[in-house]
Amino acid sequence: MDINAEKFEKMKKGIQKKNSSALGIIALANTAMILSKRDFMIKLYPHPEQADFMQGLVTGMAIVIIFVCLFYILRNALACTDEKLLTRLYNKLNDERELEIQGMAGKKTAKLSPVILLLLSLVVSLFSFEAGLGLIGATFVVCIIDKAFHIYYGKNYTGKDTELS
Amino acid sequence: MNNRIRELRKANRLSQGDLADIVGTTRQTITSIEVGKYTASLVLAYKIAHYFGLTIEEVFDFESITEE
Repeated sequence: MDINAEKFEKMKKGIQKKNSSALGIIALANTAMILSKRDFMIKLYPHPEQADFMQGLVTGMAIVIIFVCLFYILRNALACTDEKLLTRLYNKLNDERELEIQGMAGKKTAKLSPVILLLLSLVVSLFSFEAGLGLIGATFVVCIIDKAFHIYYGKNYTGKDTELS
Repeated sequence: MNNRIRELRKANRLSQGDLADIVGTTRQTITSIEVGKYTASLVLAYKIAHYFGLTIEEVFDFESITEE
């Protein structure tokens, strides 16, 4: 199957943008890991066990995120050297059905998450008032983000949504 | 929506993956369209029909829609 050089370059650029994002995420994950081990961060926690737990959690999450990003970077780099692989990857990232599924899943998540967070906050507040308040705050954040995206896409959506945009 | 994609694909000795690569979608989407589980967008339907040198109406059966 032939695809012209211009289309190949366009696909490559789209995939390479993803690599830049992944590198940015790796940098952030590394920063989080380094900061979590600093004395000033450890001293912020009232109890040393809490500091240990958070340090372990941040380190574990950062390692997983870094490995996942490295996997995507390698996959994308390999795809950029092979026309067929690149076409398949580009089509997968821009597939209309997949994007519709993501949209529906996102819609349901946005509707259900505030309800679940609120219910959880009621239960959690019985054990920890601060944690319950935190969950209520998270509920508001989810609702505000959902509304903000509604407003943004209401003004800017052209009917063409791509993973690479 | 009923369609002739499988028949046209086989006549042209194309796999679902090959057709997907040509029209810019995935094999899973082509499968879903062929079995009628997914309705292609206008753009995708046009790309498929155009590849086979046919009109959209010659590939997709719109009678089921007009009956609704």
